[in-house]
Amino acid sequence: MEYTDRLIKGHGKYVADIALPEMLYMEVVRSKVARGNIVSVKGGISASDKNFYLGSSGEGYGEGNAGVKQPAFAEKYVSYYGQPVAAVYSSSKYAAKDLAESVEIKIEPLEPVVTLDQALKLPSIHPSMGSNRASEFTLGSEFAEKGDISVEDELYLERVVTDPLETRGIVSLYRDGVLNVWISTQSVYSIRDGLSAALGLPRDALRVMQADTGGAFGSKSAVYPEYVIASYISMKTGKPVKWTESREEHLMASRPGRGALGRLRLSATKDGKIVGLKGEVVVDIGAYGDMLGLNSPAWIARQLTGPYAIPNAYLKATALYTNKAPLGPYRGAGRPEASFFMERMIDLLADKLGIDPAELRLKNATESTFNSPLGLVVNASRQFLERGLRETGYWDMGAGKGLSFFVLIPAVFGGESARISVKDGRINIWLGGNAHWQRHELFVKKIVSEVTGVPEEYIELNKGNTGELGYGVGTWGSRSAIAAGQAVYRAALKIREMAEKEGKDVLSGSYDYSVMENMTLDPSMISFLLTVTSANLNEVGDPVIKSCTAFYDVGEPLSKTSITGQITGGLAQAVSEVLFESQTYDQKGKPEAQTISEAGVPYAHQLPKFRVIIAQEGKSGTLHGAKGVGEAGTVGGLPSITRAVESITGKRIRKLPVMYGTQ
Amino acid sequence: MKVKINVNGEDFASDVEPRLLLVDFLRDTAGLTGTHVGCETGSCGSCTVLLDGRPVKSCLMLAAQADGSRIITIEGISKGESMNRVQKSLSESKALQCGFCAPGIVITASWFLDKNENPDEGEIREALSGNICRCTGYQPVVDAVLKASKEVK
Repeated sequence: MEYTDRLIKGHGKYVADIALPEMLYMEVVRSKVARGNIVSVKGGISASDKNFYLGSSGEGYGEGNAGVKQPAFAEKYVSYYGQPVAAVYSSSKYAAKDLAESVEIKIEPLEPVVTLDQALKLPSIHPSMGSNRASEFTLGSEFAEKGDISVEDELYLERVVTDPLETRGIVSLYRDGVLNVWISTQSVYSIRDGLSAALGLPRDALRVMQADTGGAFGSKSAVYPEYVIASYISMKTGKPVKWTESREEHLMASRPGRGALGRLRLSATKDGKIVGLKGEVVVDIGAYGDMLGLNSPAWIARQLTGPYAIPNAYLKATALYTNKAPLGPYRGAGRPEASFFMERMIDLLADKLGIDPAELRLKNATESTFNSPLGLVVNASRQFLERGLRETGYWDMGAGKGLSFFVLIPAVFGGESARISVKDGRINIWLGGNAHWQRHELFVKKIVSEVTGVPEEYIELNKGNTGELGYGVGTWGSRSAIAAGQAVYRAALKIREMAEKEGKDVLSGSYDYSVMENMTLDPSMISFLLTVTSANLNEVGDPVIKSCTAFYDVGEPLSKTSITGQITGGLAQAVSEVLFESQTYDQKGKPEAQTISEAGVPYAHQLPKFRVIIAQEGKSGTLHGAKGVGEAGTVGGLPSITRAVESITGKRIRKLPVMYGTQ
Repeated sequence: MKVKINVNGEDFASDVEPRLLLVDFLRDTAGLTGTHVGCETGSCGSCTVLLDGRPVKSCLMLAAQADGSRIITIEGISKGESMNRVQKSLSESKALQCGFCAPGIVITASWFLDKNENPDEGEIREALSGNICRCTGYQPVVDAVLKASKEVK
């Protein structure tokens, strides 16, 4: 059955749906304070029984100083509200919850580090660290400011929980020396490698299988404490162990994104030519920093010049520890932060100079390949901007309009893998980038069908499985169409060649080919995004988004349904992030949104009609010519929607969301 | 305590804990895992089923409260391999992405279209205001339900 038909009929198989004989249900007992010393733990399994330490895994993983390694169970002290302290299990789900209630944890509370200011002023949250500065970078070089005028501002993006509709979940079964894992994930490889490192098991002693995955948006790429603990309990008991995250747990203890501050200063000539960018980016990475968190401020800063030719730039970038859940990626993971900061500054400059924001952007758009002083190389963008302003109807729009123009940089680093198997008249495909049904099958089947000549109905895309394809990266960072697409294209070419050599029709033969495709970012892979939004005020004076139009460069469009779906989904998340979606923390560091409604995940009646114009501005230098798309909506949407709200309310916006607590 | 609930035309009798949620009865006792748990607070609509013909959030009800009632879940909204008009339209448009919300949205939209002929887009958005879809931005889902409303039942 076609996969959507399976889901529409209620026949999906998500982790929570897996039932195995003798299954044990695990519950995690968590800290109810953001910071404190553990006095005693009575009941359950906790750090005094056994502990494990998490390395860097998932999006942005890498070797290097991963700061203070996050323990599976809090050890000696707790560092964030919701941190796992103990775990219990039972053969009944309800009995496991009762057991969790019976665990007694005594914690002596300490004053938590909640805000960025506190992080700078107060001693480190970790006794082993000298300060809360987790990482520091400088980009570009110091320069003497020229030009006629300057503008400066401080901008902030609140934390946002990813909130896929399916929460996290895992089933672990250790049997005959093999740890079998069924999981909701963006990458079976990061789960395998992360569990292997934490548990001290060789990689080939793990088999990780992706279940139907009900959304992710970044939060399902890395290994979490609960995955390690569930696996450990299975190794201890020899029984299958299931853990299903509650929404409340997701909101307090999964890895949220954003929480980024920009203090920026633009200098320009009086006719609007930007001549300098200075300032700093500070990111709240929460209690533990993996490589994604530690590198995040530099990653944001590097992109700041976007599609603009800004000749001088000098940025400081700092990551700070706070007593909050560790930072993770949320759709865009640094890209929307950069676009929001820069585009807010350009709007400010336009207002100060009395120049139309579109004219100011045209004046500064790159006219040829540009090497930014921050290390970003972009192609000429001006022509695309001119075309987009015409095709979206920007020039004819009335009051309450907002425009943004930025870049989308795909995370192609590390490349991607694919395997194609032809047997018994059918083609089966596995990808290193494990689709959680962002409609990868649409473009994958199309590529393989076009290359091999086999009709799509004989082709199937399978879920991630380390036993079927032993190496790969994952789906994140707008990389799937571009990196997984290239890998599957290469494998399809090879299959065709194998069939040709035998003088056979592809389907009549038996072939199996796996490939790891290495990739390096080049400017042809970077997309330009033009987003135009219109807002007005409702009867009580609150801003309402009326329409939002995306004019996005996707290179060679592989599947228009898939591309449109990705863009509208991202724009929807941008609308709520601008207006009301966030996770905030009280003075004690307790997360304030405890339900999905309080977090501000939007409903249909709160969102506008989206219009997507698929703009093809040349092809990327890949085999299939595609560019990235998954995060385009949040990167393009945030600044454009913000500007539309600012235009209709007449109040400068420095911080998102605009309407705290009105959800 | 003993309860008997008719699910999709079949009686399920069981001795259950008084605190057992209806959604857990459907998923664990009746073994029908198409009804999903997304938020546990009645906000997301993934657990929506029809109870005596009306949509309810099965995460907010106890199995005991549903004793003696007739429930239709996603597995019973259409017969066998066939699909109803909402399912067909969602299938044809390829509107969904992760699909976790699909069972709840199909139940809610099917019930709504049975009660309302020729709804406009705004009415469909209001009708879906108890169901969250995190992937699509709703546009393709609303379009598919609108298209379904024009099909014969």
